[in-house]
Amino acid sequence: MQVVVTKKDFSRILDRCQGVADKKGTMPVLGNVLVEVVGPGQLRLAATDLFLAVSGVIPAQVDKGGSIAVGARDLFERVRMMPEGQLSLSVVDGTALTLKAVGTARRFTIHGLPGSEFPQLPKPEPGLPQLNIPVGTLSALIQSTQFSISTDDSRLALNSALIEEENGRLRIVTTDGHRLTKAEANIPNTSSSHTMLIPLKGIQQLKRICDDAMAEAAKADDASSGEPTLELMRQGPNAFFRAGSLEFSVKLVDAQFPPYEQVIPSASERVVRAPRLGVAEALKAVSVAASDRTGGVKLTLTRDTMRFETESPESGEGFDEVGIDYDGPDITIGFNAKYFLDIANAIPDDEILVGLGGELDPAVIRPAATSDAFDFLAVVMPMRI
Amino acid sequence: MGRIEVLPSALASQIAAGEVVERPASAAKELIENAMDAGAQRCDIICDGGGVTRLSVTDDGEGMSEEDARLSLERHATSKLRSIDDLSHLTSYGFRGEALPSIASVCRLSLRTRRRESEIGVTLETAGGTQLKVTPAGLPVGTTIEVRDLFYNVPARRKFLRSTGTESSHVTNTVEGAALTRPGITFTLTRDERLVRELLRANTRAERVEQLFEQANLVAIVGERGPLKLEAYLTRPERARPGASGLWLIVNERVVRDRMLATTIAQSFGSVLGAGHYPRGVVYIDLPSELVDVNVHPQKTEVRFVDPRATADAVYSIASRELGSALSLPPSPRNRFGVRNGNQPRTPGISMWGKRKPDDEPTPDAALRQPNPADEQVVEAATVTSSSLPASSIADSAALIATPSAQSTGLVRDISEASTHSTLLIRENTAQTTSGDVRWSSLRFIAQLRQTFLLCEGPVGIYVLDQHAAAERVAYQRLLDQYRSRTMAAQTLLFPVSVELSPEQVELVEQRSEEIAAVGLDVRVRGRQQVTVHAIPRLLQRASPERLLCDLVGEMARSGGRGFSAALEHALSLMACHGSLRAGDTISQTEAQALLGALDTVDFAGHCAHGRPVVAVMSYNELERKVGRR
Repeated sequence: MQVVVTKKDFSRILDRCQGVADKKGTMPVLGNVLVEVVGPGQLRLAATDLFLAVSGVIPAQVDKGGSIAVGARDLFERVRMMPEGQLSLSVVDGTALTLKAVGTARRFTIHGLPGSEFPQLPKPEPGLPQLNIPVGTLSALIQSTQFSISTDDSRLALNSALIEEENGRLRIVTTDGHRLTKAEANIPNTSSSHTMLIPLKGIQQLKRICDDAMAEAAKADDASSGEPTLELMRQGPNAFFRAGSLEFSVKLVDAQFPPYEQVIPSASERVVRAPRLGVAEALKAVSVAASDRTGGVKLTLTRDTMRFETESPESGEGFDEVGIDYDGPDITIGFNAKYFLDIANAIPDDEILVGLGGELDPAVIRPAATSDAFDFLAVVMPMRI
Repeated sequence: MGRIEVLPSALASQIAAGEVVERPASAAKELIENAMDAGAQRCDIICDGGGVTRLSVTDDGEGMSEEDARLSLERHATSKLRSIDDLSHLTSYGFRGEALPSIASVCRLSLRTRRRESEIGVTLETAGGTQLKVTPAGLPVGTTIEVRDLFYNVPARRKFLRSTGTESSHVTNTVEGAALTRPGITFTLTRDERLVRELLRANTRAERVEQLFEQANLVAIVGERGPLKLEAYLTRPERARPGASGLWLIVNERVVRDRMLATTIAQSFGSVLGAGHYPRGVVYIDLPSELVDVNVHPQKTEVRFVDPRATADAVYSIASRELGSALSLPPSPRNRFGVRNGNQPRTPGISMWGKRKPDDEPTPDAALRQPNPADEQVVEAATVTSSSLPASSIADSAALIATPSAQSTGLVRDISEASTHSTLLIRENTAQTTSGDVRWSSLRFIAQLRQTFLLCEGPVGIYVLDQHAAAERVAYQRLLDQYRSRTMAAQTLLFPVSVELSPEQVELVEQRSEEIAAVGLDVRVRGRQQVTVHAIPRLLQRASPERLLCDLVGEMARSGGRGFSAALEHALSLMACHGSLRAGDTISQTEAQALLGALDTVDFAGHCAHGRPVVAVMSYNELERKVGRR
């Protein structure tokens, strides 16, 4: 193999690849990134951990075809050290890749494996129905829900995000069993419907792909092309996403997402409107004094005031309040401060609506202004302190 | 002609021998005790053919005159007891005057003895207690008793002997027991012509224990309450064994078997020891002789305490407190006993203990000296059990052992409020200077290894912690604290988890609903075999609710009569295990350092709730040796 590429193209794809490549796994080959010539003027990079797979094609000046698999992190670090401009890649003996910055003396050689030893990546069959999702929308939906995905990888359904698409609405729901967030937005011209569970790692990669695509589009500064979109295809156990030359596939989680609709209260007894920033700041301050073992904060609604209190034998007490418009009976409820704070930070509005019931009823938090373009809702289960 | 006859004395002796001399080891025990009672400085034991062929005990004690020697072979002839009053102050091992004649009746025995004052010694030889042959002889000072052909005339008994190897290991055991009780005496044991034990006289019990448990890395604890003194050298929990066979209990310099005491010692380890496991090691308990009755068992391997409850309670509170702190610190590679020496509690001085237990307890002095009014029950009990003894003085002493709180229910143990400040005083007094102690939080976290171990740098070595064991220990302690202070925070679940249980378990859940709620689990019964979990303890929110409930219910069902709190403690440890950081979880620098800090606040921090050690240590010395720097 003997090719010349620009560092910019190469490192953009490589960055995605090394995020997916499995660094600590039991199959060493999965820590590699595959570099192969796929056609005249086309170089493909690919990486997989057998659950996620990413590949991208970049333009290249191909002198000689071939392929090689080298350590993703090694390659990434060396490419980063290269000056901007052209990179020449050549394979020696089929198992070593020499990386050279064109026009300079800087050069690296990395030992790897023949490209044929790299596992085959899943490929969508041609002609599958496609769904076009604006990357900005998807990114925003992920952003406002991904924090409540459970990090416990033994509970498959909660360790992933539910993506639902029907009648022109795209919805993401995540929960860790103690809180739940749901965000949905309109997407253009669809008549299909999809339901899929994407694992946490896949969601994180998807977010970065969306963000990259947005950054790319912003840089291109070409108003005529419109907002970039992501093509979504579904086949068997896999979902495929395509953004420009980048292809990303996820092995979907085969588990039952809990019946989330049932736990969203249809109406709360008391709903108060509160300034988002004020609440977030008060919570953040007070939670400093929360017992680090439980992180519990007591929230009290009393006349025109929302009160936050913490107390614990080891860290003393903390207190703050936020002025609100409230004229009902006093209500007190305990929460994990972090849960509440995550949500307050995720809401793209200056004011939030907090719906409370009894001491052990779920609290519902949503932005004060609702719009069809972007709808958000969070449910937090209380903590008995 | 009447059918009832008085037994010939030889036969009576043989029958009595059945009680005293069960096997060679019991003969050895009697003979060694005689030697120790004779004021020996040195005691040589020879054991051939499992002690059946030949068993000989030679001492350099005071010896006997010919007259005494003849008498010593008569039943109920003893030099150790003159009147019934002496019985309550016994400090000698023997006193019944039964042993020697009993042994003599079942073997060929030869007794050689010379008193220091007499120029000539005497040799007595008998076979089966008869055919006494006395010859004068030139002998060294002291007494040698040689037993040959044990049970040659009691074939029934002989049949029940085990293999030679088993019998000789029993003899060895007996010698070791004797050696532990009297560190000041040199013991040698020659078995089948080979010297197998040589224990030179030691100045302290610790020294003798070390001679016998060379490799064991024991934890030394010392404490007292009232007249009861406890000194123990115990293995770390990871080397505990099922069954109490490796645990020597020595009460007033007498090796005893006492199930209750052994259990008490095991309990004082808390959940760190698995059920049915006991540490190996030696426990010395010393208390005034009038508070124990040794005349319970012909072989005197059982004792009866005047107030067993108070004794057990005192032992428990001393041992648990001391073990708790001894096993909390990371083991220092330097110390002889592998743990800190008593002088450096985790934070300086008594103040810390004062802080931890803010209750208005009596001052240490008061606890030691004032018999509390509440002690009356004990006084009564003591009077009943020891009516032939001067009751008041005993009752006083007994009352001293039982501190006020020992009077309440058995739950006292769980809460362990009994005051053992005395141990602290001792600690301070006997302070030795070492720098062996390390606090967990002073260790510097370096890296996580294989997502399982935490590598830390300490002042004298590297420490490798098992992250799961450490996190579990901390979680367990916190759960326990929260549970005891009834402040268990519970996180409500979005999706209640439905759990299938057996009808009996469901019934148990119904009966114990309040206690279960106190643990932070919100469980509601849905049907005959179904319950739902609606909330779980905040500390354990990583754990699966189903698993937590099954742990708890399973433990409650198993415990049966053991009472809820013991079951709960065990259940909490299981829950802590299932809810903690596991091997395979990544941990950040801050988390690791916080974990180390948390270990400082926890008793028994050196072991996870199931007794696995939390940490392995390698000293820099050892490292340097390994890489050839030394």
